[in-house]
Amino acid sequence: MSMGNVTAEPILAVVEGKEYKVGLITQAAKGQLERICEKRAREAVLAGKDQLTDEEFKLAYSSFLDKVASGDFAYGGPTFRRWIDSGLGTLAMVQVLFGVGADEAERLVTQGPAEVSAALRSVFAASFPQAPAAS
Amino acid sequence: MPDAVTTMAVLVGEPFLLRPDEIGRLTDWQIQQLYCAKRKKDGTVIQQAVEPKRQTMEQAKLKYFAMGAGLGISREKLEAAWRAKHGG
Repeated sequence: MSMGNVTAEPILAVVEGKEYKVGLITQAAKGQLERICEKRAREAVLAGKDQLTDEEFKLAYSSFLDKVASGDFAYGGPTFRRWIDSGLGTLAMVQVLFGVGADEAERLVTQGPAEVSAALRSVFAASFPQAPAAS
Repeated sequence: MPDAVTTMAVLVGEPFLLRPDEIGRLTDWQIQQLYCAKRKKDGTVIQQAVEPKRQTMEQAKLKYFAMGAGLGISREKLEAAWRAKHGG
């Protein structure tokens, strides 16, 4: 435990010589990530609309809405977990926590993967209680 | 950690009375370790003492001999030193 955990101060990361204040995973940040995850899923359903009949599209969209209602896109939900572990999820996390746009997030991950990964590890350590060590 | 809605409901209620925007700025760590820390009836926090792992005398002796052997000390010298310190 450190004062950083208590005060939830942002973590300083330097990528390619530029300093970034990386926010911790607050409830608001979780909410932002959930919305991005849900938005991407909605876009995927809408993108396939032309290839589907009206009936098929209604089914696909209704399945998407069922997932929203059942918390699939909520932080920790099954779809959310798969998405956040993917490359797209990492990009979204960098976007939200580094406070940058999608293009900048992609550039950071491409050009400073080690620095970004280290910053995200620190963010997780400061944001979540650690499980007690197994005895 | 309980689900998000339950956690929010606890934090907006007595005694915390946090506003949703204040909750939005909190991490899970803060919620669990500060707001939801186990307390006594008078509100004081129950210290979560971390018990140091205890080792038996047998385990301590094995470690001592292993370390000594690693340093190149003969078994006889180690036995003598162990007896001088712990007897037996």
